[in-house]
Amino acid sequence: MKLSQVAFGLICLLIHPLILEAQLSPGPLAEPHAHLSGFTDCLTCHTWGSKDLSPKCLECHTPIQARIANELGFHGNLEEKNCSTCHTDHMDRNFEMIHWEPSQKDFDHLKTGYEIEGKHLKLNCNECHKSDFIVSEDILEYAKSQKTRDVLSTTFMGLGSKCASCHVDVHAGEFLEQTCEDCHNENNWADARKDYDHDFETEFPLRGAHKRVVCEKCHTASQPAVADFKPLQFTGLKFNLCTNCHEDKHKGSFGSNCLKCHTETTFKQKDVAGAFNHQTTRYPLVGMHTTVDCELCHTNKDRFTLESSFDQCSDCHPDHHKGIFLKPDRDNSCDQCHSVRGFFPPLFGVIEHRNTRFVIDGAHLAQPCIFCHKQNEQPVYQWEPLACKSCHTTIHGEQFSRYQAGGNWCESCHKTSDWVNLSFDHSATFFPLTGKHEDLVCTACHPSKNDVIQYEDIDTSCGECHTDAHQKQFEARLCEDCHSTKAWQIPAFDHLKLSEFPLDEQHKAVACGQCHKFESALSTIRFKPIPHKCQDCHSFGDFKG
Amino acid sequence: MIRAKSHNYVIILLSLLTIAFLVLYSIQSMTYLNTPVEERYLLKEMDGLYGPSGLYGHGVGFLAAFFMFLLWLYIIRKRWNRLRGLGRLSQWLKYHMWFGIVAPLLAGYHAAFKFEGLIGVMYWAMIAVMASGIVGRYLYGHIPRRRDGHEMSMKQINTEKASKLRSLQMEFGILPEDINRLKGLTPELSGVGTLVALYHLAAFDIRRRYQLKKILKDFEAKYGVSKQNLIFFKETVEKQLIMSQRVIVLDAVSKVFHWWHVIHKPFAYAIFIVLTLHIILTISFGFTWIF
Repeated sequence: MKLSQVAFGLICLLIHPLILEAQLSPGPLAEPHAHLSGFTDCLTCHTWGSKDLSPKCLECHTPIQARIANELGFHGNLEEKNCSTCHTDHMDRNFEMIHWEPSQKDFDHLKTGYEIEGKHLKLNCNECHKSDFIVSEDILEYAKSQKTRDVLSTTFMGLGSKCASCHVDVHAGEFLEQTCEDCHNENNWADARKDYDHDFETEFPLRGAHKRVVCEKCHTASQPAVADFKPLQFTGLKFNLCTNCHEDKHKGSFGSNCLKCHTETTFKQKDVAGAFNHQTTRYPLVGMHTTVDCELCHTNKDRFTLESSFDQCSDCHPDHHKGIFLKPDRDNSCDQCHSVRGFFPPLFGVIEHRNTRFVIDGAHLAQPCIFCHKQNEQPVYQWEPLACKSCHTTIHGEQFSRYQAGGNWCESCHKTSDWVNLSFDHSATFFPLTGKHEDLVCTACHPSKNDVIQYEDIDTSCGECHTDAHQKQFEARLCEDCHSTKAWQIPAFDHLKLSEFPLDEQHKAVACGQCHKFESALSTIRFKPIPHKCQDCHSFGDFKG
Repeated sequence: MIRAKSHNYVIILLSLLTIAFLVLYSIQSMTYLNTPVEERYLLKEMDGLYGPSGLYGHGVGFLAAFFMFLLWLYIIRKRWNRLRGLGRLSQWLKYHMWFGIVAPLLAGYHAAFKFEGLIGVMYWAMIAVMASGIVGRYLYGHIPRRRDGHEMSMKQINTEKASKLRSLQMEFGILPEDINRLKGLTPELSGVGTLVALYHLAAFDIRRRYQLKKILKDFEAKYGVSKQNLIFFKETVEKQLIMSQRVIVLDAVSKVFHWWHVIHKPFAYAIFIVLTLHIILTISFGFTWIF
């Protein structure tokens, strides 16, 4: 083989179309453009004299061209107009022409004009971006025109922004006039109930107890099931009559307008103005009667018109006093003492009590009624006999029992104003208080025995209370002979009358202690016997003059 | 007329400038070049500078293409008789070689070293041309030539070799046993294959400096060559030895050198064609660099 032949062969090999194409092309086209590979296909994308590929790109990618022209979607809002800046090619057959910033998972979806929020954030891209959800006509047509690849399974475009483009309308077309966002949000499908403003959005504003009722109570699952979901019926509900939803407990006896008696706040109309007006009946409700449940009086649920009488309180109320106030000779009506404003407090007060056997005064005025009128947990309104001991317990034990036969003997000493402030007169006793005795407290003379202060059978002799300071020197005499209750000191002892030694002459000037001296053996002053001969006191030396 | 050494200086200067430029370019584009090819376009700013169509990358490509075309001046000078008077062919060859080494390097930077697959074929062809050029230049240097650069015939070589031996005997009085010693440095290689011959060629080149040093030392001591004749003596001994060694591998070298053309030339032609198409195509598609 000649050298020239070998050289020619090598040249031919090197400029073989495959190799030559590889040299003239920067690299293999990515898979989506693979059908455009070829030495003669350059001008399918490239333009003579311009490196801007965008016009040729958009010539083929017509859906993107339309979105750019209309400034819609991701491409329609890009500042970069050169397609190849983001979608470069000639890298490799397996090259991914879509580069996600920062990643497909973290792509800022707001750039597409559709912000992803709530639960949509947790979805993978392909859970929404799949061919089944593509609704854009131009994408569908474009996909049909592309014979070489499956556009619908690869494109991210063409999804509708309406919920129904991906989600099944479980309401089965109930809300065709509204959008899903009117009721639902992207965080939680069930949150719709909280956000939905029934007052403005419907012809049946929720009032009173209707606000607290769960939706399903009225909007029952009467629609055909969608998969496992049983949709509630939200439209077409009849609501012009209460009986559309509520059962007529009165079996039609009060007509069809429930609002004559009931309100939406509560079926048991209690305190609702504009509800059933009991005042128009034969028995206008006043006071506490306005607050009681209807059933308390209207015991027959099927019939509210009372067949029995309701003139007397006792027609409904039991007699708390068990008939003790029922007297044939007087008005026995309850409103003598009570009113419909309440059983308590009664109208029977202190003033009315004056007409009874027991006038309330003094400390009794401060006591609640039940202090007296409730004993052993039982109401008490009558006492026979009516005495202090009916309520009070004596602290004097068996003392004064001899006086009890006379009735209210307590008043002899005590007053209703104060227990301690006595009306007792000691001068009426066997021992009128005089002198220093008037200054003493009672217990100084009335000792306590078995926790009972003794008032009866008190020994009134001085020695019962006082100690004999003279150590029995005057046993034969009475204390009163020398002392009085005014003071212990004897102001003017009559030595002439009361002693055997009359004081005279010089003896009158002698101090008592000169003769009556303290004697240790006696432990007191010696008053008697005192030797009273002259030499008993005087010596011969004393008489000098 | 520029002297041969001046051309060497010019080439050294150009080489230093090129090395400095490529080092600076490598440092600046390090990040870009270290990034996987398929991700480079994401480095938009760097891609606009160092990518094949970037400001610097495309500029380097222009320079590489310019050098590629300058390569052909040597061929034109060689083939076109009218240019014979325009410098010595060996000097043209130096520039041809320099461009042949630098242009593929620049082309590599222009392509941002993207050589995978078929697209790399032409680059490796370019490298093959460069490598074959270096080998060829090595072989070229082992084919004895006249001063005008044309190959000497075998007769001319043998005459030259005999002339050198005679000169040694007559002018320096080298004795026959020493002539034989000098001849003995070149072994008999008759009947060996081309590859063995090329091995000996390389071995001669490696051993020659040591052989010459030793034999010249002995000859100087023995024959007392005067200082004024020493350089001429050394040149004569060296040329005689080189001539002797090259003669015995001349057939093999000539054969390989001629086959070398099979690599170097076709590849060069193919590169020229592809390069031309590449330039036409890119310019046609609007990649006109700064123009």
